[in-house]
Amino acid sequence: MKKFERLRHIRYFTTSLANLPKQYSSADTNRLTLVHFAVQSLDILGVLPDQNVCGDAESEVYLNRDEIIEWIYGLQTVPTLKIQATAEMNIDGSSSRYVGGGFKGSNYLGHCNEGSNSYDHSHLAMTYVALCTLISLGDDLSRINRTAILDTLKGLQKEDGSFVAVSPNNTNGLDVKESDDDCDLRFIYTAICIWYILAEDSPMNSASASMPCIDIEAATNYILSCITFEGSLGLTPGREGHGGSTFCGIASLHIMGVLDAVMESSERRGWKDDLIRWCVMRQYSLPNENENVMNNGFNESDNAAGIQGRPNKLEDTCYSYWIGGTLHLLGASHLLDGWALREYVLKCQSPYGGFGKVVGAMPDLLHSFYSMAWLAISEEGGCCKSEIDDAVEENTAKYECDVLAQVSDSVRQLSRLDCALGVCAKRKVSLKNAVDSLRTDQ
Amino acid sequence: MIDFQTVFSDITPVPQNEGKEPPVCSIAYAPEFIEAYDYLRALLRKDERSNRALDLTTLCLKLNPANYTVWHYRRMILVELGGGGIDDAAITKDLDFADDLGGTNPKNYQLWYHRRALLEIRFKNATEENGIDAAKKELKYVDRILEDDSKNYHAWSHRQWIIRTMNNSDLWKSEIEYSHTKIKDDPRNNSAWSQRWFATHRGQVASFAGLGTFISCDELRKKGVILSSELADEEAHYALCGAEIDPYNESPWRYLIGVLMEQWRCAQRENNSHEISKAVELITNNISNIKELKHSLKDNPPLKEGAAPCVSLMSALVDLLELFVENEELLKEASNLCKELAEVDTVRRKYWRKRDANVMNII
Repeated sequence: MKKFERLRHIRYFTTSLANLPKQYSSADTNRLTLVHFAVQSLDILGVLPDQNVCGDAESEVYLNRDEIIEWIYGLQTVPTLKIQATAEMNIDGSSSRYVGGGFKGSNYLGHCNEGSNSYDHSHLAMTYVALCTLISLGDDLSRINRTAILDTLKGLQKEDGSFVAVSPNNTNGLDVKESDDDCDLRFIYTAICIWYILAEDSPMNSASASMPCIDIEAATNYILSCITFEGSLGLTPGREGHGGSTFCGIASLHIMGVLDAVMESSERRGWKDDLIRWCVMRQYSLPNENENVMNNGFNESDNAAGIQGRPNKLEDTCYSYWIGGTLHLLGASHLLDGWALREYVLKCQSPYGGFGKVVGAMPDLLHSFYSMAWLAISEEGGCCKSEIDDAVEENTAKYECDVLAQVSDSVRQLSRLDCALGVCAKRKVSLKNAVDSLRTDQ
Repeated sequence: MIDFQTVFSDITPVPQNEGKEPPVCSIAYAPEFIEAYDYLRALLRKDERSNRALDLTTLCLKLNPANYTVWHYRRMILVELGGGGIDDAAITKDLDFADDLGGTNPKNYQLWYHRRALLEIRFKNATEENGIDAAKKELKYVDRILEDDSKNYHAWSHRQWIIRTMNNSDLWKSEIEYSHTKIKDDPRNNSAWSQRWFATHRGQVASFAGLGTFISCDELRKKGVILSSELADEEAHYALCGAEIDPYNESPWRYLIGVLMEQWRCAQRENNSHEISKAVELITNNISNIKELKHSLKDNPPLKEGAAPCVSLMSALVDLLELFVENEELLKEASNLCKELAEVDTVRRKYWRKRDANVMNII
């Protein structure tokens, strides 16, 4: 087993926050997600500074918290107040509402200090990652335009419960129907997270609002209509089950506080078992003992088994989190072989820090974050607990024992993650305080 | 390539404004990327919808096909240049453009969405017959993409969108045949098995979700939300044939269990004794078919896997056997299989132990 390269990862994520190679040009519209991946990973590693600056501008490891926060706020879109055609009321009881509130993914259309142009728009996924990143950086969210974001969120939900991802700030921009294709479980998930963080009627906040911000029942039904014959969830109704969409759906149900009720309903008897079976089956089989001896010699056994996103597809580190996280939320991650999965993820570590998609691949921020996220939750739910004792007992080679103990120690030192929301659990406490004060202010 | 100094001599390029703070996750764009997007920002600001703007979007999309704003801008330009609409010739031209850009394995949402936006116009303007022809032509295009990557998630989704939009009986039927072709090519193509389910159910989803009021099995069959008894028989047979070709392939087994459980759960839910006995018969027959296959595997082990225990087969058998909660003999069989699986499917030993404990609990 490979060691966990903590210092190399810290260096990888901090240098990525400053500069990225041109291969990332295709992610130009979503730079904010890249920032999110790096910041969350550093938070899991426990190195986000309590003070503003960590390191110095000349050194390899340098982080200026306030600068990142300012840059993110530069992506908050300028919303437009629209008079409602219908008499429908809004969360604040008025009959006009905001559109275009939230965040955009980067400044390829311009900085918000330039005002907006007719193609500017906010995007649900970007608003979600902006909120998460700000929370992790210790921002108090006081500059978040909460009313505009919640108004916008409400306006984006369709009758079938799904959400349109993009909100233009005026009629010349992307029209809502235009982005119909973007209604799938990815945007239910990001919408539900935004609602959870900001809305008064979410489980995060105790007070119940007179006017619900989103239609939970419709969202729930949409998610359930994505159930496949295998028990997984497709990205939209009828599509093939997939690890990413399955996580988005299950995490949304969890955050809305309806997961248990949905699973226990007699209408869906058997679904939970189907779902757990589908998830558990996604872990690759272990190579048999004969193969191990042939490939690795006597002492170095290969017990790595990663996770695939669909049946008969290849292993990929990001599904460690999508599938492992789904099982975690279902209280069933202990049914995986947690150590074999750890071993696979660690095998995908790059010598430059970070993690690749598969063994030997170049590292990238997406796969690096989801690898870190899986490692952070792998300490919980008994996923690896009994296994370490077994492994140490069974393994006679001293080297392996040392490495196992090193991995175990370093994973234990990682910050715990709130699996459904995708931010460190400790940040939720400060988040609650921040939102509380936001509510009294506005 | 565009000669910017000549074509855009009247335009002042607008550099990306990162604000006054140092940029975060700053991307080292190539010089041509910076030049093209600087001019794009300038044109977007004016919302110029001209031929040169169209050419600029072509270049910008070549540099980054995932930029959905540029795709959107391009469609606005096409509408303007077409005098308020996009005519069929322009649609063909732009479908080809999207095709070229995607290469042999297009995997970004925006490329597929662009096709869909253009085809929506084509379908809407076409007569019924022309519409079906256009749909068939697009299905052929998707087939070409699937030749290269038979599991491309976007490509399969695009097929579903075409067929759902047309909702034509012939297209639904031929999609079942298409799934068969792809399964024959590669029985381990789970996307093709999923597409078969989609086609046999005409895109409807039961999963007993959101149905609200109670609907009987009969009604669900009439609506085609669940398979008719005859079709369930046929599809179960089809799946088992697929499993015989390669018993170590998970896909046909899960399709089989899907077909059987749909009938079983519907009957259980209605609690109608006639329905339940029909489902019991269906499942009992399939259990004996699976056992037959298990024995023949033992007698004639396949070359590649040798005598390796067949996890997919055994796990399908467990799923069916454990349904008979009042039959101790069958439950014991299920339990023994779980014990064996815990030994041979080592990565899932904890899972199989748990399944075994569940079965033992019922006994």
